[in-house]
Amino acid sequence: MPFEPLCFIHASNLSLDHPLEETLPLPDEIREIVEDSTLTAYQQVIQESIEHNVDFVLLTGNSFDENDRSLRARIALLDGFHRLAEHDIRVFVLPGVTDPSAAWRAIPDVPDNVTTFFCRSGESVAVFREGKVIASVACSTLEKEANQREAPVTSRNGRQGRRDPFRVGVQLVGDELRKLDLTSADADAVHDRFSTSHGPASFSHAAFDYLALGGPDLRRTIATRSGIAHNPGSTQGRDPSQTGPHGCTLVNVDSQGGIQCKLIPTAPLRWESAVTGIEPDTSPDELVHQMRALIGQCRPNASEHLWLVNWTFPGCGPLYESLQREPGRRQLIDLFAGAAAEDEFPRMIHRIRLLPDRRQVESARDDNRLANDYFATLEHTEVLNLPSMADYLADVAPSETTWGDRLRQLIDGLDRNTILGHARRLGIEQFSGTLEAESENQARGPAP
Amino acid sequence: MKIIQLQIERFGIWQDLSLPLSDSGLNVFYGPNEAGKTTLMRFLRGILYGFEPLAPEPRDGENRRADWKGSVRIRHRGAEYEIARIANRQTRGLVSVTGLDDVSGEQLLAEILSETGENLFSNVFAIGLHELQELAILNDDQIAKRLYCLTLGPQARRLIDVSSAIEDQLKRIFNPDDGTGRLAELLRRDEQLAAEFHALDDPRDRHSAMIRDRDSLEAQVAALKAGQADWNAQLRGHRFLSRVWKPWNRTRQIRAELDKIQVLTGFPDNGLARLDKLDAEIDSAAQGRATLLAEAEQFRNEAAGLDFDRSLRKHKLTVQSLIDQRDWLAEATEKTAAAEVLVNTLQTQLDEKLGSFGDGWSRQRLDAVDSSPAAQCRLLEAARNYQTALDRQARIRRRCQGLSRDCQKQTAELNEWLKPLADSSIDQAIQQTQQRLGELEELGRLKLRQTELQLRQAGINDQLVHCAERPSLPRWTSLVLGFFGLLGVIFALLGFYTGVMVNGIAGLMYAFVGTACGATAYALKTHVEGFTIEKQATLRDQLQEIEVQFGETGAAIDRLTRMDAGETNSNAVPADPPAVGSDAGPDSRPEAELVRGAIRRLAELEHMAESKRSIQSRRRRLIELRGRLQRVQHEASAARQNWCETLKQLGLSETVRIDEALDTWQRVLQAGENKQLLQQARDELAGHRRMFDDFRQRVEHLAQQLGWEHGDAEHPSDLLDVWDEQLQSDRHRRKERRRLFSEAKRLRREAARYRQTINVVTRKRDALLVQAGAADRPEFEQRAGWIVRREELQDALLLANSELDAACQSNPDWAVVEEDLLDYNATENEKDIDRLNRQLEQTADELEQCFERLGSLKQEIAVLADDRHSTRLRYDRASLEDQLKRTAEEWFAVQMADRAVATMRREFERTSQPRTLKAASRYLQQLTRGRYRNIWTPLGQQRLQVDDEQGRVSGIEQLSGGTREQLFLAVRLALVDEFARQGVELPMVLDDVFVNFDRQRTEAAVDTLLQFAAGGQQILLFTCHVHLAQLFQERGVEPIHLPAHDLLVEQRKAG
Repeated sequence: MPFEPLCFIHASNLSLDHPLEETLPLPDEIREIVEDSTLTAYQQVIQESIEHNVDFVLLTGNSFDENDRSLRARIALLDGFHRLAEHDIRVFVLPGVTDPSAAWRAIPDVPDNVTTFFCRSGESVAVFREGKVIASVACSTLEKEANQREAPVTSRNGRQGRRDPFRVGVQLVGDELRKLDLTSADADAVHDRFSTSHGPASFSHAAFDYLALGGPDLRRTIATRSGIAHNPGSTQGRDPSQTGPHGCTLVNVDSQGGIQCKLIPTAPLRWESAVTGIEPDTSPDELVHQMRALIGQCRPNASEHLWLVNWTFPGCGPLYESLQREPGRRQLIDLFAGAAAEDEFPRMIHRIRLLPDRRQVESARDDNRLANDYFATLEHTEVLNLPSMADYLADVAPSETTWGDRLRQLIDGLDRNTILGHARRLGIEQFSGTLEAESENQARGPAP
Repeated sequence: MKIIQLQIERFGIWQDLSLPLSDSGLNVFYGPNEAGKTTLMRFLRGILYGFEPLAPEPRDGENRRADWKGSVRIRHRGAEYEIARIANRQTRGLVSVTGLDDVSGEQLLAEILSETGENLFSNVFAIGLHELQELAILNDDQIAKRLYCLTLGPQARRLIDVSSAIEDQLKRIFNPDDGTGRLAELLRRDEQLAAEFHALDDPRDRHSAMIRDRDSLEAQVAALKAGQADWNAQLRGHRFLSRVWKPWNRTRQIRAELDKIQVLTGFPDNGLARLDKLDAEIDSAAQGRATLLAEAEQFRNEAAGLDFDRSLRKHKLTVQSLIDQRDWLAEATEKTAAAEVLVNTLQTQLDEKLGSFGDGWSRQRLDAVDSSPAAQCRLLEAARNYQTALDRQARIRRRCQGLSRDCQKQTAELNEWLKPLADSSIDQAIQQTQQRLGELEELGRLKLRQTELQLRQAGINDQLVHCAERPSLPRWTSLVLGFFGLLGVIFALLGFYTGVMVNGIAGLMYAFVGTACGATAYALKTHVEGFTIEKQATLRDQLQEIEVQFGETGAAIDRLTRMDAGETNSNAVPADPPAVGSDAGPDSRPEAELVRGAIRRLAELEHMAESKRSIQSRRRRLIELRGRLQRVQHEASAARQNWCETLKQLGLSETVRIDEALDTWQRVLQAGENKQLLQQARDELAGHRRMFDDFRQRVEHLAQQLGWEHGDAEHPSDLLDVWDEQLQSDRHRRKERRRLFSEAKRLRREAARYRQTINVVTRKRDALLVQAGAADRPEFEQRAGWIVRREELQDALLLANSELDAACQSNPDWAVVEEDLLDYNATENEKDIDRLNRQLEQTADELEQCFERLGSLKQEIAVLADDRHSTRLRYDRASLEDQLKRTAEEWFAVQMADRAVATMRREFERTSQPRTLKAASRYLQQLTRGRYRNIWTPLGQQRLQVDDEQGRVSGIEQLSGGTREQLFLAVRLALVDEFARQGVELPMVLDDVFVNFDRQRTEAAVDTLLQFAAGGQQILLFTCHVHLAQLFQERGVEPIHLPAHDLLVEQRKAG
């Protein structure tokens, strides 16, 4: 057997006790779930590691946010380490952007089973089982430099005789890896099963059989020349853009060097988003039916206790207008909740976003000349970019003021489409309807 | 309206001034200062709208009491009028408007002025420099309406509304002026949360320090616990010795005492207690027996003392029967009283009702009235018939009266109209008027014919003149042709004479050509003159014929005109009186007016004929109605007789008033019902009284049998109450006697049972004494004391042994020998224990303190670890960040919308201005030579803005004085345009409004005014500046030079 079979868990971007984004005000009982979601996800990682009796655990970057100064994060982290130590499971930690090396050094009483890669020039660390080295873990930069001095790596299928243990590299996404010419494969297709037959050997980091990526990127798997590079994504989705299940990856290495990556869901909170149009004749029941069909495509996991679902409804018509008001939204959500009661879904919190349909704009433009002028002006004269938005702020909130600076910080995170949608909606509200006929010649009106 | 002449008899400094004006275009008046230009403008305004009552006195000092007087000749819609006004300086004057053939006053003047007010005229049409500079004038309602267009169009209104709505939304989201709005609140909250977050110290440092403290304390606790265990071991040894020695010593003492006490056998168990119990039972039974016997004797004595009435016992049932009827008796008494009251009430009501019917009514007559339902039906039927007949009669009478009144009124009006016709009938008058109308139409046709003949005559005369003035051949024609002929002859003679044939032939040809051309010219002249003479003769014939026709037409016109003059006054209709002061002859009266008068008269006559026919029709209807009224009166009389007969049959008094009879009938019915009720009440009262008397007799009879006096009881129920009390008392005494006998018997039985008990217990006591071997109670008590003491000592020995065993077993590791117990010194041992206890207490205190500190520290660590404040704060910040983004997105969207609407609004304001401002912009561009191009006003505001050639916007207050006056002049010109478009045609009067213009803009203003006047607007411009007058003169407008005031005065004095 060229390899000792082993398994380990790879988790990244724990962001312990760091608040999630865009959750909006929530009821207290739900808010507590949301606040504790990252901690719960980490505890689930520890629990899964113990249950699967893994050989070691990799934490690659952003385990916590030093700026948060969170004691709960530190306590939870150490508790997890101690639990793993009780089961003789080693932990390899790669500091990230939000949890730099200095922050890790400041943590007292770190158990002995934890190895932190404080600098990129450290040596590789061996993992033993029954006195035998079954794997080595190292920071990728070091191995890259070492690899450049060594002979080219033979392929695993063509291995002859004895070779080194399974080599694991840890690497942060966002620094040097992004500079490399990677061949990415579709993450969904590859992440659950990967073998040497997949992926061309185009990755220059041939020194590692498994390159553990970390950082804020989403879950993905990349084929390298000698193995794979894998980023498990966050253990808990951070914002509405990170939809779907989140968790850590259980990596199984068989005796032939075959690698299986399996997603272990850990997130107690799941984001989902869906878009469905509203036609003028769409009834609430039909819309709920569409919503159910969309949400039915997503299967819940056991770790998930709460779903935050963002609905986007482009359209027009009476139903669309009723959803502009809170009672209408509440009624739709109640209708959906009543229809979905029998389904085995966790509790859901819905957010509804309405986008004016193109037909609404065209209808308003056809109604009267002012509406036409408004939308024409909106489309042709306004370019919504950073300078123009800063220009908006110049009059009302000068840059030297506190509020001005704060608002300028926000500009980059604003959604241009939402702003334009608001502006269009405003135009539809203000200019819809035909103008009354001019009754007096002296009344102001357009030039004949 | 165009002014064609100003005529001032007296106004201000002007007297006897007559100024003819051009009715179109520009009239420039030049005169030096104080020449009276402004006075002329005031005069014009005064003529049109009234003189100012407080007008200044003339400065010449003459005729101070003379009236203002003058007139203006105008042309209005093709007709000329003269507006004259005279005032005595205290009033605005009397005005008269004189047309060609008519004179009218204020109404016609108002129509000419198109109902405009003096303010409007002074502010727009007749302005001086002062009015021009007044900005507030433009805000006058009538002007502002046209200038700013206060009535906005739907698009403008929508734009303003949308701007306002968006502005409100912006303020609701973020108002930087006062720091309000949702965004401001979120920013404030954000600042607050940020400050709160930064104020938090790092809990991890505190947590680490606490962990270190906790570890240190735990080590200290461990050391203290080790010392405590050592001292505890020593203490346990001393305590063990002390604990063992006490039970061991007590055991030794108890055994010594037991050896001294005698051992007894067969003594009854618990003997002393059993003896005490038996003695107590014997004493108790004896005492109870004695008590019971005494009580039984007392009860027997009490029962023997009770007494009873025997006669009451005999009639007890009869008395009880009467007592049981007391409720019925009370009810019968109440019913009797109520029946008496009811009888009295009904009697009174019946008497009152009979009295209200009148003197002739009694109960007998009331009985005689038939009040059955059939009688009531008959009465109502008769009343209905009678009332119906009366209503119909009144209705027809009213119609007759109304128709008669209308006939009389219409007849009077017709007679009034027929008075002017004298003996003629209406049909004759209509025939005459139709004939007159035909004649007038004929007269019109003749006059048309006459005009046509005049035109034809003038045309023929023109042709004759043209024929007579036809030019003959010029003189040089004859000279040239003669010269050619003569020269030809000379050449021919000279040729033949010299022998040169060619020259001779050429000379002959020249001579022939000259002669031939001369002859041809003469022939043509002769021919043309003949034709002209012939044509003139023809024209003269036609002219003669036309003169004949003209004469005939004139004669016919004279005839018709004389006829009209003769008939005008005789056939005048009262509704069309001749115009006052009309002294024009028949020829001057327009035929159209005569035709209109005839048509009006014809229409009135036809209206009279129609009225006459209407009167005849109404008279026929009146006759018919009167016949119907007579028939209805007969029917009413029959109905009245039937009605009276019915009343009589029913027993009522006769009356023709239906309401009164029906009312009487109702009251009679009510009285009959009242009488029946009275009879029923009387019968009921008699029955009640009979039953009451029977009952009284029964009670009195029983009282006699019992031998009881019924005393002064007025009512049987009082007597029955007394009897009831006696019966109750007798029943109670009997019951008490039976109870006392029964109780005495029971007590005696109880006493017998006590006796048996005493005997049994005495036997038990004797047996107990025998068993104890005692003869009496003292001996028995001594033996029992020995037994008790021995048992106590044995129990104490057992207890001491068990304590000793327990002490030994509590510390099995420890062993004690008897020598140690014999040598044991309690004092020394206690000292050692105290010492060890003190040491242990001190250690325990230290441990307690450590535990307290450790517990507190752990609690703090737990609290710190569970503290969610920081987490919640971060969550709140993240949530707030999200809200800030959403609100900022909304704000940016509204800002975008605001800018878009502002752009639309600017475009709208520049391109969709009111028509007046558009025209004013054109005039301003001309006046400023293109320096300023556009005048506009922001939507919904009364504020003028001006765009210059570079597109910069300026307000009025930012313009120079001259430019501002040019702007106002342009606005005035535009307003005059606008008023003219609405039919208001008034002359424009400008009094030196160019004084602040530079030369270039003055020329531009002159050109603008000329162009403005070329459009048909009459302008009167007064100036005292020669250069201005010259500018107009250079452009073809000859200024009118006003005479100097001094010269005028001198001329008047000289004249």
